[in-house]
Amino acid sequence: MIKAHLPLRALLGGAALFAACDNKPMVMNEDMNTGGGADMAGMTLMCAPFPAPLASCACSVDDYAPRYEMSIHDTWAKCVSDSGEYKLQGAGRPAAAARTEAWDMMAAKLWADMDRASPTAQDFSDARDLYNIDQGIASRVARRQDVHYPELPVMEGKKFACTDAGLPAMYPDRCAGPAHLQPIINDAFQKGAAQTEPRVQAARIEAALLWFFYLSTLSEMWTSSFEKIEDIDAMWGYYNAAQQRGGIAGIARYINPLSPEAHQRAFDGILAGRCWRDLDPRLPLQNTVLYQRALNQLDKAEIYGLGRVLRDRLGKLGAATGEVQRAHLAFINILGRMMDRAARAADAARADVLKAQVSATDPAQVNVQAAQGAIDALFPCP
Amino acid sequence: MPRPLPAALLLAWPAVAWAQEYGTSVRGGSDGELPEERAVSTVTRADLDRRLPRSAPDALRWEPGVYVQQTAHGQGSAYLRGLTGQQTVLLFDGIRVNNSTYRQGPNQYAFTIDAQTIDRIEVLRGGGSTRYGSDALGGVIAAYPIEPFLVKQGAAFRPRLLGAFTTADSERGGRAEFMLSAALGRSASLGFGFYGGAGGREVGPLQNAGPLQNPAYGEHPSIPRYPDVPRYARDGRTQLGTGFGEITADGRLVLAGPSHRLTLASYHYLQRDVPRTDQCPPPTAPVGECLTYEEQFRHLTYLAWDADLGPAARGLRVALSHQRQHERLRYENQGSFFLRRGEDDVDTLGLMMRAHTDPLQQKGARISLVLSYGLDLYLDLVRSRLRRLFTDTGEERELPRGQYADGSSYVTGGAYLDGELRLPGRVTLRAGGRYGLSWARVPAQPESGTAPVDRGFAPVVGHLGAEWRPDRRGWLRLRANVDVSYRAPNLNDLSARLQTGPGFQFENAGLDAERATTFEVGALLRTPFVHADVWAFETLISGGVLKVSQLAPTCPQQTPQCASSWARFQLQNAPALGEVRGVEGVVRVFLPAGLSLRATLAYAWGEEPRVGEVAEGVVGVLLHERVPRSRIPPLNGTVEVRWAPGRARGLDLSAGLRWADAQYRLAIADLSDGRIPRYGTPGFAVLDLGVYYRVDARLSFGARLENVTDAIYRYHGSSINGPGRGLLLNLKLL
Repeated sequence: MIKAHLPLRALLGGAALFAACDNKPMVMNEDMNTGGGADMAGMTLMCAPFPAPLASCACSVDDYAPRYEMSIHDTWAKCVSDSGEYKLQGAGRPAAAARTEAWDMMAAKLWADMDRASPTAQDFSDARDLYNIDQGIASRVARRQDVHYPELPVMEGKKFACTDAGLPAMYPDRCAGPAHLQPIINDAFQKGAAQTEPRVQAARIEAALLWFFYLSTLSEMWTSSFEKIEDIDAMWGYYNAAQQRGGIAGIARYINPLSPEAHQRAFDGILAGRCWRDLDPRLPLQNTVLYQRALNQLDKAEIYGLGRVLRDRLGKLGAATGEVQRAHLAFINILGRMMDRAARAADAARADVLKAQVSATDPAQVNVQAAQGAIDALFPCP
Repeated sequence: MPRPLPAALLLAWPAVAWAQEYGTSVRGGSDGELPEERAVSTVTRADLDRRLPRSAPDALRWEPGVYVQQTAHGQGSAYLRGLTGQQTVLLFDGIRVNNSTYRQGPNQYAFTIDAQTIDRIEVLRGGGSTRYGSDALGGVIAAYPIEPFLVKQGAAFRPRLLGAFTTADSERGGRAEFMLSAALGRSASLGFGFYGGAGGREVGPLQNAGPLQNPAYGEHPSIPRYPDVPRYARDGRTQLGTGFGEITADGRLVLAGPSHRLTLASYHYLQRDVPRTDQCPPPTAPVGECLTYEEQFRHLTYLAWDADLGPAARGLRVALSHQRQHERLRYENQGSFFLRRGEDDVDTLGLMMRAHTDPLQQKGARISLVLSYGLDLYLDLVRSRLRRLFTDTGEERELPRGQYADGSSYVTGGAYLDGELRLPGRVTLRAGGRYGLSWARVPAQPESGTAPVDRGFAPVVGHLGAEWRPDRRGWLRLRANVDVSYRAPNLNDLSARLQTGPGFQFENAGLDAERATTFEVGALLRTPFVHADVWAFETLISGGVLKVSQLAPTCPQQTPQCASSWARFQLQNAPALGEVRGVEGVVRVFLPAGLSLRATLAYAWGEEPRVGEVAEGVVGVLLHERVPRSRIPPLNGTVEVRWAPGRARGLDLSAGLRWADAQYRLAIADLSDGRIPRYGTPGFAVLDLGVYYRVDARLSFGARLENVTDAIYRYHGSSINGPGRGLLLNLKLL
């Protein structure tokens, strides 16, 4: 069985990483395969083929593929996630799931239904209460870090220095929660309470929280590597309120309608994270390669999915008018700002194109096609 | 007819010679209330003047078997034989201070007794429910106020000013007070005395030598070098979430006749802006997040009648009291312009009566019996509100419920009979019993998911003890006691929802009473040169109320903060016995030339059945079927050398060492409690030097150099580290 050849697989995995970057289908030579699997012109797939319109995509050799015959063809050892179900690492449902539920309740108050009347001051007040639940979203926005950026130069093992006064201003990208998100959210709540373009404010809160929840899935995987193993459950909680694959809440509520495969891939990434903690159960982590593979898989799927969200919102820009249109643009401004890092990592020139469009302050200035084209090119596969 | 007091007398102080020393001339009916056959120690006014404690609980640090924890700088909770808060009883002048909102674990209420008004504090270690009712599982702390003097003729007036200053926390405080007394009536058989005053202090941020190191630092990469609590300012010495303000006012009017004494007294303690250090900010939260007691007030007013009504009712005391405990908590998150403010008021109406008989003895018999008896009844009425405010928009809203269900009430009380039988052979037997009664009513609140409670508890408890004096002079006394005490679940247990140190705690309306059975043996030595008390005890706790970690689905309805919290707990009765056992002792050696030595030692060990698992994030901890009890103090003690050549005045020099061993035995809840470093509290030794100089009755001066070596230390379970090297100054004038 393929699970018996992990060292070889790992070796292959390193080489295959580059192949995957070109978005070419990753296949294995048949003679390497001792297990079942979909055959494609004499080669054996490591994961199920991507459905249309992503048929040109292929999984990476690093990917965890529990949907494809319970992971027997991928390069991951047998683990708790192979059944395709998320099995809790900790004793109970993570508190992060409660925050995701609060976010969904905020959505119902402020932005879920753009066809209804603008959210009232009372709606903003109710949503802000949900945001400020004790130990709720606000408490975590205030300390959220973006793990794509280097850690703060902290001392004596203090990993959470973003909560120290002055440091968020010095390291705004790493301390994204207090430096980037908190000011947007506070300002939007204030203006929403004053009924200053309430739809716009709702959209700003929506986008900032989408940014927060995305960062949270990754930062919980990071803290799980050294602080609390059970934080891997929080990663799941932030993704879809700790539901199984069919549960569409939180980030999944955005990604799944636009790209069901991206949601599936993101959930594979969630399971990869849990699988990593099953195979590498010590604190701190021992297997940084596996951790990085899980993190990359989830990140890539989420970024693709959020790219679809951004693309979709750009598409709605032209059809809307007035405050609704400005609300879409506000959402695009913030989510586009978030996507810039990933875009720049993929292709700086195209990132510039995208940035020019998503940072426009006037809807009329946005070249939707150019922006959507850049997204398609930058993020072709989940 | 009372004779009008001539104004000249008021101004010409001191016009009349004092009957005795200021403040100790007349004892009220509460004198010597704690049962002497038990493990008791006393802090006197002279001790307070000499040691300069920052608060009433701080004054207990030198007592054997007492370990004072501080969750905040403006708070202190004494552990008696490993138990504290709602498992001990606090009395003021014999009146119960405990109410039904006392929570599990340490609380702030002993701090609300103004140390400046205290004549002495007696501490009973071990169960005391027979006389003091519910809660007295671990012991009783009884504070007695300064009494006014009573002149036998004429009148007298004496004002006094007090000033207090410290360097470690920049305390600036003072008090103005006066005593007034006059004889009434021609026969001078009636007199009155008044003692009252007002004071205040501002206490700044507390400084020490720097943060304590986590004991497990280096053993695991997830464990940082320093604990999350407390946080420090940039100077590395100033602890965030410390400092407070305080105002006090009190008056005590005594009308005394030959066999009757009427006391009308009122004590008011107002503390403002006391941050809860472990939540200001909470662990890993930004510095703009803070939980503060904006107001912590206690108003106690009572009318007491003390009398001797004959052989069957000696030392009678009847007291009617009203106490209001007012708290206003503010949780603020500046980062999101969010402020939540809760107000909880508890009005307690109290009635207590106690008396004892003369010795009942047949002529010629060598057997005598003294009976003591009493009853008490306290009714709590609770108001609880919670509001939230967005500070940027000014929008405010009332939330469905506060910490408690508004309109809750609680009754606790009972009646007791105690007997002391003196037998031939220098043997004394003591026994007594109480029929207790507690009743809780909590109204249903569907909008907050609060279930109604209408439950009563009627425990019967008692004690039995024996004493033998081997020698005629009574230099040695050997004692053995068995005591059964109880604590009925209170409103906090049955209905409160609150964030605690280890996590969010929610109610359990089905709790039963917990009982403690204490077995203790003691030896007391009283010679002209040596006084020593040594006690060994074993306390078995049945139905002990434990914090049990819970999963999110068990959270009560309409309480989203429960599911969001990093850990959740519910109180549950333990399925098996818990226990605390230990030894404690104090020895005092009197040497020539006014030199004396006093040393204390205490050791306690506690465990309980394991119920629940550790909270998330706790690493490397193995749990067994039985686990340590929460915040059991480590082996600790004191040594004090004193040179006081003059008895009542003159110079008094002292050097004191407080020390404690490390405590690594932690309860499940302790492991996720920010107040406790990971995983345990290091030991310490702190040296203090003191000088007290009493010029005469009108002028005294005290100074104390605390923490001479600038040691970094923490009393186990505290949020704050102890003050760094600094000076405490105290001046009493007039």
